[in-house]
Amino acid sequence: MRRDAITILVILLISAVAATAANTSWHGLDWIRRPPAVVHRDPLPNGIPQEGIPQEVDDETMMHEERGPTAELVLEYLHNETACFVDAREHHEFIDGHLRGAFHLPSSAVYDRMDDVISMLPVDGKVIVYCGGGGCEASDTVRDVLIEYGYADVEIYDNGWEGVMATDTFDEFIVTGTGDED
Amino acid sequence: MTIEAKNTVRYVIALLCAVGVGGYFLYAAYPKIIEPRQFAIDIKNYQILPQQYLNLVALYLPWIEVFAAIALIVPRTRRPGSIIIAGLLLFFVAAVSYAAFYKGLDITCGCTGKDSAAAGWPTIQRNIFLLILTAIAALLPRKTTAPATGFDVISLGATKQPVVERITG
Repeated sequence: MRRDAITILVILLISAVAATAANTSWHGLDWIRRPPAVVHRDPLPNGIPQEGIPQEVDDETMMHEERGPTAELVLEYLHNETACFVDAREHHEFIDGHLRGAFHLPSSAVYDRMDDVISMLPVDGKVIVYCGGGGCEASDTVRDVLIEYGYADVEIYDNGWEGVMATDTFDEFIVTGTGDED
Repeated sequence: MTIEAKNTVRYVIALLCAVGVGGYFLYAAYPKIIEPRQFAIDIKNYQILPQQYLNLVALYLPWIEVFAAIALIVPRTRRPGSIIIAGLLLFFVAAVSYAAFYKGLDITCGCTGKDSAAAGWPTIQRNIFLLILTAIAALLPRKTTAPATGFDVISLGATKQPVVERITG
């Protein structure tokens, strides 16, 4: 029994050494993950959003908080093609229907597709991320990763796909299948 | 079937179970080692760990899986390996149950990196199946490789000859 305990400790120790070595040589990931900076909703007097210290927001406030562009603004972006759209939902949901021109970047495989994202979406352009709507977290994950890769102007369409399907104004921009990602 | 043959069968079954579970864990650990940031997102989706520990677990856990799997496959370290693997599997079952049934989250389990199954009953069933295989690998007796001595033969009841006669004869 004592030998088993020692072996277990040795395995855990070797794992820690291997993880440290791998992270030092390959990933360079911070061991302690810092929460992303929160951009305050209220702009400064000069109209520039204020980036500040992450703040604790209670769940109820989060659920009722409207974020990102309105449906009208999203329609304007779609009409004028002035923003790139990123669909953060899973593959089967994307196939069932997505916004025309939307790039499929599911949160469950976001890092696998970042090379494609960089080659297809301009880093200095506006990016609108959406997921299922109703407070789904996939958009937040994808937005954080896009910001990590240097995309500065990333917004979340908070109503997401629910908002798109709730009205017929988006009908002309809805496509199905996988052949319309770029 | 002789006792030796039974021991051999048990040894082979235990080895197959160990290789099966160990192989699965090695297969599952590989994509997480290659892309720990994605694994950190998968862990985040469970909403169990505080934000600051996500990277720590995402970097450390796959390597524990690797070395525990190797320990499970190697006969000499099978028992401690199986203890770690069983602990991990129980933890995974608890985490998936919490996320899928208590919190009602619709997330992928993150078990094998990308293309992981959804966290739910199938994942729990698979983990319980792996847990059973791990128990079989650990609890079935190993094949005795040392040559049988007179004491072994007597203790197995295969002969009533005196030890001295068996050894000298």
